[in-house]
Amino acid sequence: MVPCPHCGAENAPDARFCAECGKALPDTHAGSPRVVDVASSGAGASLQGEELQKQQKKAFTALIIVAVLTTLGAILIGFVVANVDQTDPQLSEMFQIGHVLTATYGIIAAIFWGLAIWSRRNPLPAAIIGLVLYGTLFLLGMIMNPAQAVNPCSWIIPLLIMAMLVSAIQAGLKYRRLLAGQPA
Amino acid sequence: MNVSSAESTIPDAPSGGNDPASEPAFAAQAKRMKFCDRCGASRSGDSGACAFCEARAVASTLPATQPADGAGIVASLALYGALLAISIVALAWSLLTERDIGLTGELWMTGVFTLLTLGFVLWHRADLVPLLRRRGSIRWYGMAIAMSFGTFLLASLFIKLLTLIGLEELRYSDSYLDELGAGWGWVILLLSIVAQPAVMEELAFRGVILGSLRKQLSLTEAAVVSSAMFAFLHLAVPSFPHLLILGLLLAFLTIKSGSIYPAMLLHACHNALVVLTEQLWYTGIDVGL
Repeated sequence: MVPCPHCGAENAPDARFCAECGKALPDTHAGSPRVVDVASSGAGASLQGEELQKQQKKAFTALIIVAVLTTLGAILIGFVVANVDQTDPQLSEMFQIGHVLTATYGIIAAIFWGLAIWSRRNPLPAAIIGLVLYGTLFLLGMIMNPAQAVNPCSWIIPLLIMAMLVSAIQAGLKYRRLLAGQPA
Repeated sequence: MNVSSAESTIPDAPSGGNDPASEPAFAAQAKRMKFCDRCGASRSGDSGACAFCEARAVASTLPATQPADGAGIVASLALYGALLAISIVALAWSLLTERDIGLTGELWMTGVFTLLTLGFVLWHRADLVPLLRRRGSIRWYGMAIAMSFGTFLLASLFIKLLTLIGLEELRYSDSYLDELGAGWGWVILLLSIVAQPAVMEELAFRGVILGSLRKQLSLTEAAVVSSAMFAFLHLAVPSFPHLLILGLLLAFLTIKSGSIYPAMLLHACHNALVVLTEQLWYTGIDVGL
């Protein structure tokens, strides 16, 4: 029986969390990855680990691209809005929409910057959220701009980004299986 | 690189006193287990499978997460995609016909959403049954009601801030009351804006999606990803911040109570507050301020 360092309760030898207080037990199974195990299982496994880590960096690349593009979009719209003649009644509605659009692009850019930073530490969930958000916005964009949707060129970059995120997710899963000592 | 597997930023419940559990029989200890020793989720003291990792209370060598083949992630993306498709189709329809989908359209959307969610719930009933069976202690329900005032105020604050830069405040209840009148209008309104989203969105996001993601991600990661998906599905970028926070609180309630019902209550109260204040206190923002 293993005592919990937080509350002192006795736990089963292979428990990962204390059954009394719920805190993680100081065990190699719960918590940080067992990098030692991966390395000691042979050069092949550690090479595979490096390979998968490289693939996970795709998540960061894809997310940072989207973050930069969206930021540029926000700046561009903000600039246009700031220079619109506010006194012209016909343009005033555009002015209001422009503000909201800038805020929208701004929020989306902030989210992708956040995801990009998170992906350096933990690429798998960041890549999943990035893929979901990007896919959603892409679909919305296509519906709202059908003229652009039928142009195949406008699909290239989005599909590339989504492909990078999908492969990052797959690599992330394989990497975790490797760390858990399971067959990739 | 630090791959989090089992840490949780969700605050732990206060620890009880020392419980030495002197008898070696794990089954007896199981009955006193407040937390699952595989994944750390709250268990409200009864024996049997953990709501989240289905771990038995007996010592087992099975890891809490079973990263098999990404099936959990695929299932979550599938449900999200299906629900997104409903909104996309409705949006495309209204753009093509150049008019709003109207009350009938909204009710159709609600119906399809309900059927789709129930389909996925049936498919993943193994994950859902523990959450549905457990009611959880009453303090989670009290917490849900209390939290709903907080989330409602937060949402109102964010939206009011954005109306100051020109965002048009979305009003949910007018079309119902205008088209159906005060009597039936309120009934249908409460059913489709308060009750249905509370039940169905919880089943979808905290039930199916949280449960599926849990198979490949840690508890915290699954909570964050499911909350993000919850926020994005509403397709209102200005609402993302407060929807994300609401989603995290809903996930917290579900994980800590081991039951889906406290989260349903929070969601219902939040929506009810939005709808009631819309009608009782009509607010018009003078952007000239």
